Amino acid sequence: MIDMAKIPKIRMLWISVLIGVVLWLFWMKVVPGGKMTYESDLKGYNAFIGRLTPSDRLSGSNVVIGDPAYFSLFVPRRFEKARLTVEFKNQTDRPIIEAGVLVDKRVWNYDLKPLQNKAVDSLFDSWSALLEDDLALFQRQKEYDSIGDFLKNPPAAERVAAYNYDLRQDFTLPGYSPASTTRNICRPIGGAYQFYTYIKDEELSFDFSFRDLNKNSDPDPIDVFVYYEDQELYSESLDDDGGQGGEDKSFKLRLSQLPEGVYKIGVRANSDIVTRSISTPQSKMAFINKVSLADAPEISCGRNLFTGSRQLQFMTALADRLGRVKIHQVSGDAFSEIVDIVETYKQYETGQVLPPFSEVIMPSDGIVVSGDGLFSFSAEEYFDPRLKKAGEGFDPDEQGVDFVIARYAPPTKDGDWSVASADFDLTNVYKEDGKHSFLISIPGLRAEDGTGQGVLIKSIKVDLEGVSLWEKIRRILNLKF
Amino acid sequence: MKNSVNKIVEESFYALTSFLVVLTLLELAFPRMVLSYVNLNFVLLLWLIFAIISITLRHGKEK
Repeated sequence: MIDMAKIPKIRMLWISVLIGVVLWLFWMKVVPGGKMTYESDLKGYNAFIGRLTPSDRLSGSNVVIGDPAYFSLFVPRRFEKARLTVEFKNQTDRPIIEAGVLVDKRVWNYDLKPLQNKAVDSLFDSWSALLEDDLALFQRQKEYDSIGDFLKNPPAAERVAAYNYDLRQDFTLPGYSPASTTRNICRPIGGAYQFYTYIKDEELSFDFSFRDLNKNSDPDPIDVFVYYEDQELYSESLDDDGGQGGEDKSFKLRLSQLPEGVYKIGVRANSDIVTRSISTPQSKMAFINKVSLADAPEISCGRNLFTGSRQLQFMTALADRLGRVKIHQVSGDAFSEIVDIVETYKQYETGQVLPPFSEVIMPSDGIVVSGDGLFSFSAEEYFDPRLKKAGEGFDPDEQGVDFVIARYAPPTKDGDWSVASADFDLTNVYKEDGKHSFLISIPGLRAEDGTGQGVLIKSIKVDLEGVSLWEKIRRILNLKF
Repeated sequence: MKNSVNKIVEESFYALTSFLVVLTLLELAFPRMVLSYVNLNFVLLLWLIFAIISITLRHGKEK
């Protein structure tokens, strides 16, 4: 028999429990200490780390068979750093696994960090290795005693390959002289792109002609930026004028008194923006990794490309732009490959490693071409100021590389499993509904190949770090008083 | 004895009602704050069971 006098006490008890639960929920949301860890085995429901998607690139819930696979991370508050730790088993012959966080949704730009690079891993056994902090230097024959010595006095760029590291080299084009005339590049390009150009005793001058197709109702701003030696030199943002589309918008980029060297110019815009033409006196232009040939045949004066990519991908969204791509070596031994694009929204790849310099003969406009190298619209425009990359298809003997510098730590072993971590800066990355978007990339792995091979992921752990509540209060008080 | 059971069921119903209201309001105010840790479906199911038992017992008492 329950004692009626005890009722208020029982009520006090469950009200206390309720208050305790509410306080605990607030504690977990605010994360007063500024540090939190979330972990998932990707098999069951996890409120913080979402399942891997899309399902057609997965076998089961945690075997990635196609590149890339995505997952989301819900964060209850703002964090500044994330350490992603992935426990995996690479059952494929693909040498590289990378993880990335979505930085800019407009251009689908992911900040990629390495998890595994078998090409670099193999150097640990066969070459002399120097490790300092998160940097690794591999030497075929030991010539440097420290990484500091190497960076102060680097060897010729042709002998060096880099991975996940920007080694500053004073790149110059011997015999370069400025062009005397301005040329009009009538090759319409869709969306975002970046390219290298080279100047010497001349003005950096580009006239862009943009058109907003307004196929989507979202605003379509355009950002133009210029980088020199990895530092942003100039940026300009063009707002969406809210028009109905169909009218061209011009933008003149003029920078003078610049030193001789390589400049990176980028246009950040969504797929609604088409660059109809570019006028420039600069004679060198090499597009980085991707060219989206816009479907504007009325103004296009050609569509063939020259590239140093060793592997190419093609994709079109337009059914009347399907066709046959021919690739052949520009000079030297005869080499040719044919890639048939027979379906829309499907990515087609070259089957063999391409020669160092190839011409790509496109069947039509409206095709997105991507690769691991640079692209130009003519052989004369092409130049490659970058260091060789110790990535996909890297062969130091064939490429004459004697040094490899990498910001990379090989995965550790836990039984049959490899464990690798990557650090991300979350301060300026994209977040929607409290979620960050991550990807796991295994370049060259295609679900369509049907090999059944994949990367088995046992667990994903994310260690988050941000400002603690006390630090936040201290900052507010410092600001006010 | 029956009175005691009635009282326990009634108190549990009140407690679950309070939990459900407070947690739902919290979730509405701060999305995913509650659902990340608590499955409100189960709380709602439990609340429903206690509501039915409570009504059944009260109906029996009135007869």
